[in-house]
Amino acid sequence: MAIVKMKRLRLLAIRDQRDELLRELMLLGCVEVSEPPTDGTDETFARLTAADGSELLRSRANQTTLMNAVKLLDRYAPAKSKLMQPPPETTLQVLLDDSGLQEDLELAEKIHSLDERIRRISADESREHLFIESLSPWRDLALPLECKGTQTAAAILGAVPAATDTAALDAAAASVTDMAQLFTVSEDKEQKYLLLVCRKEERDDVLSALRPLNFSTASVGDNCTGTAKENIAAAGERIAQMEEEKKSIEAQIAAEAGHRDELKLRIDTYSTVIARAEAASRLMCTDSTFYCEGWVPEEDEKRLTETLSKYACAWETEEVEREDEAAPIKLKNNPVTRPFTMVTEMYNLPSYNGIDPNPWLMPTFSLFFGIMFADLGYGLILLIGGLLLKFKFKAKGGLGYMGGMAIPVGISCMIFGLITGTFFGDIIPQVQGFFTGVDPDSVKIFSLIDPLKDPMTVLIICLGIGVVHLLLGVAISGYMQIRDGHPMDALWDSGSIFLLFIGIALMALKVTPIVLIISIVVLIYAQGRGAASIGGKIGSGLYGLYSVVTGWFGDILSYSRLMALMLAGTVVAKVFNSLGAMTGNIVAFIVIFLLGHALNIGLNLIGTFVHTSRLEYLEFFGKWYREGGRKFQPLAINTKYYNIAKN
Amino acid sequence: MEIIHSFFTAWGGLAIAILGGAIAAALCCAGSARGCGTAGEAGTGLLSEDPSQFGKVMIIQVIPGTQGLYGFVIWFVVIAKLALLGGSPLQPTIEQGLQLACACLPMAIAGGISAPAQGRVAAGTVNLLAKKPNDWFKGIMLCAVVEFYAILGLLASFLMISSINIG
Repeated sequence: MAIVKMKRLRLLAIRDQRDELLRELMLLGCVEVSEPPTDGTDETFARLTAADGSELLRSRANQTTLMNAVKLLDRYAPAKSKLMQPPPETTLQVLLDDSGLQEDLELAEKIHSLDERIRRISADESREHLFIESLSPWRDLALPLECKGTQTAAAILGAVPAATDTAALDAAAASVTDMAQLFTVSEDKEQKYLLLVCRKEERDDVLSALRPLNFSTASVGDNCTGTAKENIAAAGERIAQMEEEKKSIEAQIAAEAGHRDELKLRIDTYSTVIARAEAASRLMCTDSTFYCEGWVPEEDEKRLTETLSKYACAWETEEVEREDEAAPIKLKNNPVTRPFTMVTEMYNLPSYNGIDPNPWLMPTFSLFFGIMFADLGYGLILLIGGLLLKFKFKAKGGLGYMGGMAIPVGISCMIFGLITGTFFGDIIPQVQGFFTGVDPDSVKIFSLIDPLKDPMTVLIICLGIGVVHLLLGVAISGYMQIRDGHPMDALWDSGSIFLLFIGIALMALKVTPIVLIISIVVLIYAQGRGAASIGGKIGSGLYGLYSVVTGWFGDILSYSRLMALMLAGTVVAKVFNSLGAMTGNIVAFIVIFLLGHALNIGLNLIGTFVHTSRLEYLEFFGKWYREGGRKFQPLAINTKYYNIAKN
Repeated sequence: MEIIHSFFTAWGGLAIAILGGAIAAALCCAGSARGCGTAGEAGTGLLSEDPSQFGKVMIIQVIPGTQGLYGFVIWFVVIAKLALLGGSPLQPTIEQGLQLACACLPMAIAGGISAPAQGRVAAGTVNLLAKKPNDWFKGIMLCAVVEFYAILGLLASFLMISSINIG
């Protein structure tokens, strides 16, 4: 529930033990190796050499090869994946055992070269298709393609635009000589394909007479022998052969599908190799030693000491100031608040001198989500989904966080569903009406408040919740100022706001207006206390008062979205229910119910998530949050496909 | 004049009320069609490169479709209020008919204009999906920001319609 205290680590060790040591550190998973201080100002460091990065590059390339091979396997032999399965488990020994890596790489290379062959064949194939296409206008020409004429006569193939009149062509040819003849071989939408026969010595004259009519000679099937028809048939056969060959190669790739899981395991193995190589590339070396700088959480220092004392090395850890911006951020949370790290990370991690927002996000995020998504049935779906994700599918990463969030959020939705008396909108009265014929509006459902009949009350409650949420933010801000040794600032900045609200409350309860007046004076002083002169103090104080009042006005009104989204979800749900009931047919009722509510849930989930986040980010975080931290990324085992079995 | 007057008093209220619901449904559906069109156009571009993204592209494309749904909801609420589908509609006065028609306007205008705007954000989301497939959900959330105003329009219309009494 806090930002973990970090210590700076400096480590000197024997170079021969480097790989072993890095392996141990990776298993510990609590040391971040940072970039070496190589700004060139320190002469001692300048003499050290950075570690060779070639292994890192090689490992990355190898991992990419494996990944591509898995992709190819998925393409040629799609895995029958069941929806949402927990990832398979493996042990550390298997994961870190790199003895079979070379074989698997060779397998991946083989899959690659097979795929390469398929691609080459496909290229050849499309060339054959083009060839067929170029010959197909001449399919009906009985003349072999290599025949360019007889001893005295020339045979010329050519084309004219489809609109050209053949009679005009004949006339143009006849104007030169009567020893020329045009035959139409075929025509399509664009062109007419012609054979021109004339005497060899008159060839150029005839062609120049035809040119004004857009006659152009065509070179067809160069180097081909036989008629177009024969060539097309031959090409068709070649294509069939290629298809055959492609199929057999595809079968060869698919035959390797049994190795898919093995390849996936190796991708994970390479992830660990890459992690170590990345750390190694940040080390500074001499011929026999290396130097490592990094970070270690204070709580893990003992474990680190135990490990390091087994090696011939020297190390020290150093406490860092709270203001040190270089320190990475690790948030420590319990299983309930941890999933909300997702919301925090989507915004920005807190700075090292800030505060972990997760403990505050957990209750408020659930509360707002519950208000906007208020429905007993919808909440139940969220809760079940969350439980399934977390315990059945053991989802990792973002999906795991979502599952963890869905549990408290779902419970909250159910509570507000009970309060507003909604279960899939108004499905209970609608079903009762459907079967008994009573008016659904007359059926009484337990509810504390009906948001559709009494939206004003809901609105006021929502705005009230907003005020409490914002004041919580102000309180945290005040706490941070006191913690950092500025109690007077806390009193003026946060205290004045609280005084203002006490004043407003007393005024509203008709007790006394005096506190409000005092609080406004205090607020003006608090806002203007930074200015130098008296005039400046008054000026900036008044301006500060103005911006505080307008800012708070806008912030509080922003919480009206709680009511808006709550009502919108209910309205759409109710309309689908009554649409379904109106059909008078039980099957149609069920279909409309399922489709309508699936749509409503999908839409509202996104909308509610966005607007809950917005209230947290803009209104709440705006009051106190110090952001800008860098995530703590220790050298550790991060796998994509496999979970590590515990012992 | 007499005839027109008596005609309107006899039938006008119902017609004006129906006009309101019809405008809400028509404008919202037209807007949604435009929005989905823009998003779908961008989607086909991505699919021509990478057909495996079909599922996500489809989700993005339907986002600007919700305004049409909201318009339909308002239309439905209006005709349910008028008991139009039962065959024996209520006969609202001209004032009541005008009230109902005016109450439909927030949905009609907000839906009809916000859907094409959302369609453009959705088209941008398709680009986001093409370039940064892991961050596509952030684009969805930007779409949801536009959605909010259509929801407000829906609520404004719905709350007004449900508080108008016809008798």
